[in-house]
Parts: sequence; structure tokens; C-alpha cells
Amino acid sequence: MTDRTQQKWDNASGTFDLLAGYGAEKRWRSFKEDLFSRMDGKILFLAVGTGLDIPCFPAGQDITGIDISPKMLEKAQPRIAAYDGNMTVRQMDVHKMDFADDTFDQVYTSCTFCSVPDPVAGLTALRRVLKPGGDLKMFEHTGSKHFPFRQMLNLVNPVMRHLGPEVNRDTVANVRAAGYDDVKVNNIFLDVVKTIEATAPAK
Amino acid sequence: MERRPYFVFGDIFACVLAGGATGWLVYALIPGDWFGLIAMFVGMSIGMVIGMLVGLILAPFFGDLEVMLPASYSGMLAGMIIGMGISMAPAVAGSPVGVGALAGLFCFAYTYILQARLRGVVRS
Repeated sequence: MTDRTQQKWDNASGTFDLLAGYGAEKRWRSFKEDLFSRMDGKILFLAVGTGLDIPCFPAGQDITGIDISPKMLEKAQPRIAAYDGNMTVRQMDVHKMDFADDTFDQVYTSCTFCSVPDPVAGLTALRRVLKPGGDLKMFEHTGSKHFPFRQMLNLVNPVMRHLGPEVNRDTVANVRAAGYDDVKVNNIFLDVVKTIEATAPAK
Repeated sequence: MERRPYFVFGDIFACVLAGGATGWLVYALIPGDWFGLIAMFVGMSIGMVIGMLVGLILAPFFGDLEVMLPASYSGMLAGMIIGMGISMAPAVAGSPVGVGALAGLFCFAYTYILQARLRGVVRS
């Protein structure tokens, strides 16, 4: 599963900025900046990709980024180098993270859990490396509960999952299933693009 | 609700283009003697493909799912209307590009109304 996922995103790295780099980033930038403005403490950023989110990070943070795709991380290097703070990146699968338990104060994701092969296991792995009471903050797209978008996203998902992300996941339910508390959802576009904030429970 | 003129224009353009292009293509491809329900489903399928293509082409300029979803919806609705109209109400299908574009405008408005209702914190 890891090899296949890595291969998919290695392949996507060449055209990723073209497809996601202008329209989507311009449209979403203010929402991402608002979410990332709450960065505080030791931070894990999951799925750095080509680093499109890095210009939205507040300066002066201590951020560890991971991504499954070495080619994505190669593309991200100029943006990582330009970040005004302490940012290190590693190639790593969320399912096989080698960080110690309770390492991070916060975990951030951005359009990530549409692609993690086993989302509940991935979120549970993030909970392990989060300190008790630590924050999970996500900018994600999910499936919809509303006609006709629910049906459309379900219909195209079998094709989309081979090209890139899945488009009909219930990431909010996955966050709850992974054992997080205080789940708060803020819809940005319909009920499809949203921020999800949750807390790792005390152990 | 999106208020930035650049993106509002992009959303309208994507929906109208997907609807109009689908109307034209469905009218050109589906014979008038097809059974209405079959023509409707074939038209809808063609519209979905056209809508997704329009969405993919315009997404780098205007957004991601914000463009792709309404454009696909526009294509599907335009394909249904024109496909059905070809066999059941030829007058409606007489100006397929215009009818398709109107379907696109409806989908744009529907998306914005639904967006206004859904946006914000929904549960905590």
C-alpha cells in the first residue's frame, strides 16, 4: 500500500502545482492562513507535498513536516528554504511514523486525509504522537451530505481514487472514530471543503 | 458565499460553459427518435463528462471543487434537459446552447444558495 501510494504521488508531483497551485490556493488562502495562525509549540505538518501551504504559515514556528513522496519533497525544497522559522522535513508514511509517543503539541493537515490509505489508522497514529490535550487542525475536502453533490462525488470516486484523492470520505466521522474529543467543523465550500479541529484526549 | 468578483465570474463562466457545451453536443449526438428516458440518461452522462472536463480545465484558474462540482452539475442537468427535450419537447431543444447555458445558471444559483445555508461552524 505504501509503495503504491508513494508512486501515485511521485507521479503527481510534476503537475501538482499547475492543478492546485493558483486557483485553489488563491481561493483557500485566507482560510488556511486563519487556521495556521493558531500554530503554537512543537508542530507536525502532515503531507507537505510541494509546499504550497508553507507561505501561509506564520513566521517563527518549530515545524516538522512529513510526506510519503520524495519527489514532492524535492519540489518543496525552495519553499521550505524560504520559510522564516525552523522547518525540517522527512519522507515518512503516516502509518509508520517513528516519532516517540506524545512528541507534538499540534498536528496540522491540509487536503491530506482524502489520500491516506487507511484514514482512521492514520488519525490514530497522529493521536499517538500528539501530547494529551494536543490539537489536531485540518483543512480537508470530504464527501457531501447534500443532493446532488453527494451522488456526484460517490459516482466519480472510483475513478478519482486512482488519479489522486478520494472525494467522498467522511473525514469528520473518521476523526471521531480515531478517538478525538471536542470535534469542531467549519464549512468553507458547501459541506465539502472544511476545517476540522479536535483535541487528543487525556491518557 | 463567494463575493470576490474574479471567482464569482469564474463560477458563472464554468457553469454556463459546461451547460452550453453539453447542450450543443447532446443535440448533435442524440437522434430525435430515441426513447426519452434513454436520451435523458445518455445526455446526462455526456454532460457529466463535459462538466468534469470544463471543471478540470478551469480549476487552475478559478479554484478546485468550487468549480468542478457546479460545472459537472451544470453538464448533467443540461444533458438531461436537452436529451429528454430532443424526443419529448423539440421546441425546448431548438436552442440547445441557450437552454444548456440557462441550466448552468440555475446550477450556479443552486450552489450559491446551498453554500449560503451550509457555510460556517455546523457542530461542536
